[in-house]
Amino acid sequence: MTQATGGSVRVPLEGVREEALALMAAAAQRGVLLRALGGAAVAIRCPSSAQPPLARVYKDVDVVGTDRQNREIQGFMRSMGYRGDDQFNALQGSERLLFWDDTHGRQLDVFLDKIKMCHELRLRDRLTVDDITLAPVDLLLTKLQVVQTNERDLKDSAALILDCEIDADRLAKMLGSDWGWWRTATEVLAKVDAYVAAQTDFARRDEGRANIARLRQSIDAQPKSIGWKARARIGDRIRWYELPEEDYQ
Amino acid sequence: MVEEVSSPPTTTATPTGLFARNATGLVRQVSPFSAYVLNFIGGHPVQPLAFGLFFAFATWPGGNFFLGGLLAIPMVLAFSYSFGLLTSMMPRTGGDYTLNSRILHPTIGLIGSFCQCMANFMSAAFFGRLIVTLGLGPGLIGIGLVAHDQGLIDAGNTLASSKVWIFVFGTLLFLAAAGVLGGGWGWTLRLQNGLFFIVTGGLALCAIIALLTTQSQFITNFNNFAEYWTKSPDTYHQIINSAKQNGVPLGAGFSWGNTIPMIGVFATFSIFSWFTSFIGGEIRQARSIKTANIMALSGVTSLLAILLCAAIFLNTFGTDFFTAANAPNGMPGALNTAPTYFFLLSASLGSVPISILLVGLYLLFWPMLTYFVFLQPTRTMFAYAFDGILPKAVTNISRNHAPYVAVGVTFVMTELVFLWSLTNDSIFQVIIYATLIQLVSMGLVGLSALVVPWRRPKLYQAAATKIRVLGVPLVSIAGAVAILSAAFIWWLFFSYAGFGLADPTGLFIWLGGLIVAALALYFVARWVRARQGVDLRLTYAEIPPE
Repeated sequence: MTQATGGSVRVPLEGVREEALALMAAAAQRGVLLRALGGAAVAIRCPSSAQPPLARVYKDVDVVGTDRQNREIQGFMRSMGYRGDDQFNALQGSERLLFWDDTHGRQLDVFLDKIKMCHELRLRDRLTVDDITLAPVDLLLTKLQVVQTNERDLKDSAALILDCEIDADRLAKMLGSDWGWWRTATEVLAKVDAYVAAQTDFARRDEGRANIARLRQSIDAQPKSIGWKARARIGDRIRWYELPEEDYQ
Repeated sequence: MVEEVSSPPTTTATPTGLFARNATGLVRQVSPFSAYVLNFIGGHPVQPLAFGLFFAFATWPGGNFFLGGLLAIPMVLAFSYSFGLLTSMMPRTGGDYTLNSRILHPTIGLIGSFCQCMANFMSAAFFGRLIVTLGLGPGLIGIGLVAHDQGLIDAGNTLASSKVWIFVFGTLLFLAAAGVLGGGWGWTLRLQNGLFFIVTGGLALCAIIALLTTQSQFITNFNNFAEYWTKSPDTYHQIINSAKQNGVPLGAGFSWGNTIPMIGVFATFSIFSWFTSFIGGEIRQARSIKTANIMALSGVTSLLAILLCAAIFLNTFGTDFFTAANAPNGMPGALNTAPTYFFLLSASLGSVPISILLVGLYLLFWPMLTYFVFLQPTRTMFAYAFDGILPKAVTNISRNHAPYVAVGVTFVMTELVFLWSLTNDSIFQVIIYATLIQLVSMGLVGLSALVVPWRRPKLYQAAATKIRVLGVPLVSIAGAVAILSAAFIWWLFFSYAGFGLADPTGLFIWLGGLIVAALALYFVARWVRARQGVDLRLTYAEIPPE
């Protein structure tokens, strides 16, 4: 079901987690460097994301690849039953590609080399750290960079912090060099903590909060760069993040 | 009496303090600063200050230069808000084509965009000539004069008078402009902003040198420099006296009649601060009024920068001297070069390295300006292809994200117009045609802006910002003023011989040809698509998808 064979057109799988796994396996076979991120990656990585209170509905697949393989990625996605959004890809295709799964009415975003949303997360050298998905710390960073957090972000962050070994050193270094990143991420981390604390029936509530506290300690202990300190003096008086647009599709 | 109605943001906060987000967000590549720079380039002060402005002193004596500049500001604002507010309603690729085709009629969109494309091909061709005749040639002569190097002077004269060299360097300029577009936005914006900083820095350096030089110091320094060539101890006043003898009116009293064309002189440089309209789908937060405000800010700041720098240079060089030097044959034969601000400052300083530096910084302006005019045809071709008017292959991009087909077509068309321009003895005729042809397209956008609340009420109602002044939509006011401004500038060119419109018939032949070509493309494309089962009229009934 994962391969387009004999001229038949492959139909993407209905389950988002299953489809992400199938795509990553097929990409690896064909030498296309892709890693899952977003909800699908959390679902692959984190068993607790399958159980309440952290379970949620996954809406689409997001992946990250390299611009160097831009054409290969476009060919691969077409062979996997996706329709490329030609107009979007012509105009935005140096950083982002957009595909459609018409069978299930889902979109698939391919980030290239970096994720540029509220903050910029460079990933070109991070794609080979782990198989199938981005490394847990990078998955967490994609959640912590969101200024306008929703409940799904909080659940995914909590699941990652509970189930995965987060590279606290990388997290602390990232946030220690960029005040804007630090400002957003620490605020989101506090929201995650509050969310977990509010789940009074959750058996792993204390474990989750302890993990969050450890991450926060690492972040606080990290020496801050000169740029970080200079920006910190300005503080919230100047906006420290970008607000992504949602309605581009 | 200004009221503003804002639509709710697409991402909303829930009562719990969390946000309802439906999709993975996108941060578009062109930042507000890059958008400001792009819009600024068309009216960058280097161009008018170097060669396009000061002829007006001798042509319209008594016209108030500064009043003319200030009176051009409403025009700048009208075009900025017409394009900007429409672009914020429909932030798509294609600028005037997309706006006019959806609001007025597809054929109007095509006619306007054909005018826009041809105006930019002509502008690029003009720049291809000027980089040699008012750039490299005079630059070498100027350096040669400062360095007492007859070889450089001869080389400059050879370059400026040789059509072969003009063709060679013009073509290199077009290749450089294509090279700026030869990558993704990351590459293009790095080059665009880098060139902007360097060129603007060069101008700022000149302004600082001028500010630190008193008029009496300049006169002494200039006379010392010129004496080697003119054998006269007071070339400064000799230039002024020669101009008077040749009938150049110096020190004329204020004339309102001659101030009116000054408005047009400024308008021809400063009313083009809306080029981000062509990349509406690629600029950040394009749906907000910021899109229009950035255009207005670019236009007004570039115009004010022109006025400020002009005031500084006039104060240092002296108005009579600068007017006389910029009049026809104003410079003595022994100093046969354009009296640009950077040449005069180099002469005043008598420093060869500074002379080379200032000429070099000035020359970098031309690829930046040519890239600016190359951008429009490439994005308009994209929009044609997205609508099915041109083959999809036009939107092909290379591995490094160069829109090579669209850029290639733009390069070839520019080369053809460039070759035609080389057969035209008056190089200014080319830019006059370009300006008047472009105003047709700009006037049509004004018409779209005027009628959009009634022609496309849903589009207008869905706009993020709907400002009304005394109950009238701002976009309609901007549109009406834009139409009047376009008509006013046309009237100026036809009424004042000083603008140099020597062959109106040729202009109308160009315009007629463009209208016929646009209509032909529309009906041929409609016929071809109909055979493929596609009704193009339905395409134009919808706002293009992002």
